[in-house]
Amino acid sequence: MTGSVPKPSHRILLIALGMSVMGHGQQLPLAMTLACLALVGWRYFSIRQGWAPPGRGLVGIMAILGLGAIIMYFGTIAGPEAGTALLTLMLVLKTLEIRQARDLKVLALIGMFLGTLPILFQNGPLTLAFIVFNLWLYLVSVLVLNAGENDDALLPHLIGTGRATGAIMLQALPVMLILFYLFPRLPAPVWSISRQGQASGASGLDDRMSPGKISHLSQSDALAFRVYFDGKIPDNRELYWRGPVLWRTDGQVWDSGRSADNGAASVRPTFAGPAIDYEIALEPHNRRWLYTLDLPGEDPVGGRRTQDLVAVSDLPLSEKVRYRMTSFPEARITALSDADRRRGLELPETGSDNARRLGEQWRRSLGEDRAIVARSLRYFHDEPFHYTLDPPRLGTDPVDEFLFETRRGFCEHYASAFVTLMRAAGIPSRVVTGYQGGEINPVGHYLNVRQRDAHAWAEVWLPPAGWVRVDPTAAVAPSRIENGIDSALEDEQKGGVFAAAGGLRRLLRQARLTWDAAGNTWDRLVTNYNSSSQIHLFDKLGIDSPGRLALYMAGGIIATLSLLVLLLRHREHGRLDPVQRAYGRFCSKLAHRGIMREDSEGPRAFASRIGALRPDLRTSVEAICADYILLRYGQTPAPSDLRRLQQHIRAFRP
Amino acid sequence: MLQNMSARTDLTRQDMAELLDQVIQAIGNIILGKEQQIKLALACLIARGHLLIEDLPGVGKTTLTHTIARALGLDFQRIQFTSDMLPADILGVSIFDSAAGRFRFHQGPIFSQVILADEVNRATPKAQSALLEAMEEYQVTIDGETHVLPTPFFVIATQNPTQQIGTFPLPESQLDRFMICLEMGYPAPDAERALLMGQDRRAMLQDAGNILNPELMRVFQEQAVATHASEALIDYLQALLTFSRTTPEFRNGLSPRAGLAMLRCAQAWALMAGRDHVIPEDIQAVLPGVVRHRLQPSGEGQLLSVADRIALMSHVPIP
Repeated sequence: MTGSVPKPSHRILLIALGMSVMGHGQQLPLAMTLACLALVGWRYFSIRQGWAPPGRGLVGIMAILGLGAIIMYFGTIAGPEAGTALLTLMLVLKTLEIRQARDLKVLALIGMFLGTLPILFQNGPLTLAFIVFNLWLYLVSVLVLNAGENDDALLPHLIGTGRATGAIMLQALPVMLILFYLFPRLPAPVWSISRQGQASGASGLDDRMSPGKISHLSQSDALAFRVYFDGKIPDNRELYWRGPVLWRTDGQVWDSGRSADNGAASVRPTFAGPAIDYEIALEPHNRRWLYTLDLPGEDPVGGRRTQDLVAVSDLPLSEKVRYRMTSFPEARITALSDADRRRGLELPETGSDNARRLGEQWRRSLGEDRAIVARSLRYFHDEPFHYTLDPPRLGTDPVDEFLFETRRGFCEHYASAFVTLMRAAGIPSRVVTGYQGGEINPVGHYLNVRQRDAHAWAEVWLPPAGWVRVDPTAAVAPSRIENGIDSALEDEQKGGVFAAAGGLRRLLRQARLTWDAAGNTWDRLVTNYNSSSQIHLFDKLGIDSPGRLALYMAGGIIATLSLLVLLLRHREHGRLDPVQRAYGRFCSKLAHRGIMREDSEGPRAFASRIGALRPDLRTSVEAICADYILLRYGQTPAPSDLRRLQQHIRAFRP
Repeated sequence: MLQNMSARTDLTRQDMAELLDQVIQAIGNIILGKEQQIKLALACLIARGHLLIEDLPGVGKTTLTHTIARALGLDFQRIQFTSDMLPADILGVSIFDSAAGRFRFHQGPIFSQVILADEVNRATPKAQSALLEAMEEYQVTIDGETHVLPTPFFVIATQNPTQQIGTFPLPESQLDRFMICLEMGYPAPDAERALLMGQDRRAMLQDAGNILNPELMRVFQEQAVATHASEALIDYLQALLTFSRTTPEFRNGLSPRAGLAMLRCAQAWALMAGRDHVIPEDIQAVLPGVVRHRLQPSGEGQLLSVADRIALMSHVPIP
């Protein structure tokens, strides 16, 4: 029974399926991925050995067990992850019951679907390349099957048929591009449900801050957002990307403390000074805030600004978004309500006793707010504080432990300790989280802000200026703010293998930047291509209404079809040999003079009829006729005969 | 006068055309005003086909056959078909030779290079089929013994129009075995006048000499098959065959054998014109002879005469 299944096609198909299973490795439970790969591998091996597949009963038991495992792991069989897992499992089990060539085609067809599914979970040029290669393998297996190849060596098939397959895929490329860019798009992607699933795994800032949280984030290289400045990219130390503002602390955890966090800003600052225009492409993070440079001068499209001047979107950001913004770095919030003043001074009932004492002592000895701020910053700078990604674990009273014992911390430690000190000294203050700095990509002239750039700083109320940004981290590790996090942490990385190979590191950095620019282009052309970009494209193409779009599409289809017809006719014309074309010209010249050749009239008969009608033409017609007969019916016509015929006919003037 | 040439096989096509022209002239001296028929008959023989002449008695069928045999320098036998004829009368018979103590085969009239099967439709189907089998097989099998017929072997059969009483018209399947079917027709007035005023044809026939010989005839036959038929020409031939098969006026289309017959005749025709390739005009020239006995009218084409049917065919466009 297995003998009727062509081996080469079967084996290529199994390789393709194995690749598909690996492509889903991130979504599937590891055990299942391994089990699927093992099954596919065993099947591959058993085909070589000519072993029969296991019986239906065993396959059925495996299917039931697998289904149970999926339900236990995902809790459902619906949804993208569980659905993919189910499809993968069933396809892998299907390989165990391939009994005829037809089964291979079915498997290849569903396999191609499975092969395209990684795009639901990951999006990028690498994923696409993976998928295209996977599809290519499936197509090769189908083509090898259709060609009836039975030769056992795989490589010749992969090369020979593979080339034809590649050609087929290339031929499909224009159609794909046209459909991708021109087929009318829905405002929301069809698979938006699954994209939410993707974003849930994405890291990002929280609306709560606790020691160790941001430093954990700082180990992630994942992109947070990209910024495209209209003008010059500002200095690194000016790049404070404003995120959630945190007021309330229980001594350990900070949160916003505002019940009505969404309330629109009641107090508008005066926006003065230089403005910075830029556009941000934000990765989905499933929260609502839209990061902006301090301070956002306008409400974002599809959102607004809170009282703390944090831009928030109306909807959770489960998709990549792009928004334009104008920021005023020198603007300040100059109003403080009584409620906010209370909130800005609130400290937990207990804990942080030493910090409180220190704050109160500064208040007593210095009196003036600005002097207290300066004193505390000097304190961080002069005492042996250390900026590190790997701070020691803190106990129940983290602020005191950090300030007076460990003195090793990351930005959130400094921000929370600083705000505690300020509040103890009676200065209203709050923690601002967000990102600081970013990495300029000179290849694409934009700024990448990554999760590792996550930062926390403080704002203190210093009348008459208003809320003033104070970054205690800058007092400890100025390079963090001046040059970005990499330089600040260089000490920690020293002694690494790469430290000696600075050149290699630069090279790697360059490669990373180039790759990132490619990813940026990809995002711009593919991922972010949505209905609004399509409308933008249509605008550029001069399509401004659905009616016109329909008209253009109809026109495009008609144009394509007529082009095809022309092309085919041209080919046919090309096939019509030059002799016939020349003779046709000869006949039409005569037809203009009223001498029509009958369809059934042979050349000799025609020539003699012309000779009778127009004796003056007899010699030239007979010469043409003789050449034509020689070329069309003769045994070995020479190319020179054709040239002579063409010359004669060109010179023929009836 | 051409005996010395007969041994040579390096004749050019032009030489062959001239020789054949002489044959045509010689025959035309006796059969007046029938050049087309003479040429068709000759083409048929060069194409190794058998010829059927269909017409009323007395229009010169027998004379034509006789003249052709004489001009080509071939043996000639005439078999007059009658309704009481038996196969043995054609093929021969084994007779017990008491002296030798065994059967001896006595060759019938068919053992000859040119056979005139006169009024073939007057014989019974049994006798007819004996002839037709010999035509097809180029051999005769009697009492389990096979006797090869001489080469070249031509049958020129004549047939009275089938409306006449007491005839057995040849079935279509057997008609198809004749490569060409000719109609003699009445002579033109001038030709008839010359016939009436001239010598006795029999006497002229006696005087006429051989122009060709069997060996030359074989060379011609070989050369004819070698005549080049280009793809364009085959296209035309196929267009004709397709037309005959798709036109509702015809009961049946032309068989592949008919197509091959058309090609071979056209090749012979081209040889007679001294060309080494076939042109559509060659096909058109032999077309009436090839299709006349093959295309039967369907119910729809009942009113079409033979000439109409031939005209339909010859108006197929040349691709």
